[in-house]
Amino acid sequence: MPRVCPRCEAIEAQHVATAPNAGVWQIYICQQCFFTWRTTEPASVTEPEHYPTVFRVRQAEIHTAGVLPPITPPRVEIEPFREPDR
Amino acid sequence: MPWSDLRDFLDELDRHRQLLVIDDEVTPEPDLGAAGAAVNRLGDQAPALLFRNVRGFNDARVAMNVLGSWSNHALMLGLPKSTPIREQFFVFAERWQRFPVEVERRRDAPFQEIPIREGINLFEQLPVFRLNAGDGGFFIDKGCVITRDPSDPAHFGKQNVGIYRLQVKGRTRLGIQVAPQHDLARHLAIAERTGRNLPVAIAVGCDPVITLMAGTPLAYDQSEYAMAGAIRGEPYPIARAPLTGLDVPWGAEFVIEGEILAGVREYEGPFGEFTGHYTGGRNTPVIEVRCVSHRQRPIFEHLYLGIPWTEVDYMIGLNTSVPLYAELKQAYPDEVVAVNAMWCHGLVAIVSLRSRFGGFARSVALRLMSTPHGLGYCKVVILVDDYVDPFDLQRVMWAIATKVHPRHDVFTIPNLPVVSLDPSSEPPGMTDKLVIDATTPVHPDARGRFARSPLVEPRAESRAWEQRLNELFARLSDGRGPN
Repeated sequence: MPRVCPRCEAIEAQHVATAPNAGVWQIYICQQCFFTWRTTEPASVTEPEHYPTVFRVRQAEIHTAGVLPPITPPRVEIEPFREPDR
Repeated sequence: MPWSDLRDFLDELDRHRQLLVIDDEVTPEPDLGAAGAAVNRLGDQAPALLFRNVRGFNDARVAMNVLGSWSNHALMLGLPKSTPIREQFFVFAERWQRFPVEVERRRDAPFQEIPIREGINLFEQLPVFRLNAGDGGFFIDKGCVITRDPSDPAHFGKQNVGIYRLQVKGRTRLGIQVAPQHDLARHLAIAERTGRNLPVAIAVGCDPVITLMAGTPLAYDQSEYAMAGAIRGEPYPIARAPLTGLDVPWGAEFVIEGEILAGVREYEGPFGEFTGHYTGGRNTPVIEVRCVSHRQRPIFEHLYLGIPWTEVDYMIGLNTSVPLYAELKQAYPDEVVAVNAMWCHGLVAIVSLRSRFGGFARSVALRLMSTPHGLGYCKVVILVDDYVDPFDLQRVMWAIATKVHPRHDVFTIPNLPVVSLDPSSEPPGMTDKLVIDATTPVHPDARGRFARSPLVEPRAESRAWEQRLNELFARLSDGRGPN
């Protein structure tokens, strides 16, 4: 059952883990922004209405964020200049 | 050195009363991150922490602050734990010259005890947790990430061991942050050019020397393992990772293997970084994990990062200073005395040197900025005379206070590269750089009135008096009285 992501509010968070010992916590991860949280964390982490404004992510930002490092395109079309063999 | 893995080193710390074992139950959040921050407030002799009861995990062990003090750093070098920083610098620099030391290949790696290929779940098999409250997820931040140059895979030296932050983004999925200056970025670019994925191994919970080397700026074709051998004084033990065949530290607690996916970038972060600021919110490469191997009752090692000083600052203090020093020494062996580049991986560096003629010192600053590491760091370079210990900030500030004429001795160079994690860079990755020349002008540079204002040097007898006063003061402190 998907949950709402506290950070970007996408309804795409998936359950990915249960505490190995006695199941005392669950872990969810947003499939949009990859925000991850444990159910035993405070409301400022787990609930959208309490999530800090400074760390909120708008869904548009996910696609416009910088790329690090840039993707290298396959193959090189121009043979680079090389020093002569000595 | 007596240790080949993290466990042996923790025993060594324990022998020297530099390890705090915490068996009370702790929560993954907020306890582990809170304790990681708090231990730095105990000062520069602080102990390592080993947690053995983390709520929700079966028998998990989490080690933090392993190198988080000058005492632990000294023990890592095999020195007495009270060894001053300056002395640690020169021991480190001397061993640096012994590079390369051949590795020792071993077969019986303990991480082979438990191999997992089916049913991998990184969230359950590693006690990952949120370190700082604003982190976008759970990170592995002290793993040695190993890759080979796909165009020259047999070249042992080009095999890279580096520390890159890894965000756990799924049961078998990791995000990895790689800056273009890093060796791993070169490997990935070569793989992507041919449309192939890049095999990767991540060793977590290693002995401190290889972890230190993984965070040390080495030349592209220099092996971190061969440098680890030089620093520890004997061959470094490595083993072959079962899936990828990459060479990994023999004593690793966990070895995670998979591939960096060619042409894929995904949203990652933020994460509280070594700059003391959160960075992230960028699209970074992705690792698909296919195999996890670990020891029985493995120890998960984690690095605390925050506003300096924290463990990361002890970790990247001298291992940044020494390679910069070694590079300057190659060009100016008789003039350069020491380099202290302990602030944020060398964003600020202090060079102590003998200026041979007017303008010499500031030329050395330009050389520092154009070393391979300096290209991404050395944003502020402070130059001091050879009699100023760059590790003694009182003296450095004295030099700035009295030697610097702002009209002549301070200058900036526009539009140079810098690590994009520097939050002041604009755009990210670009900055101006600053030189503060706090050396005394020498001929033909005749500025100031230094010729008529000689240094106030202590009398020759002052050394003997220092020793005598130390002894008297020690007696006073012991309650034995001054006589």
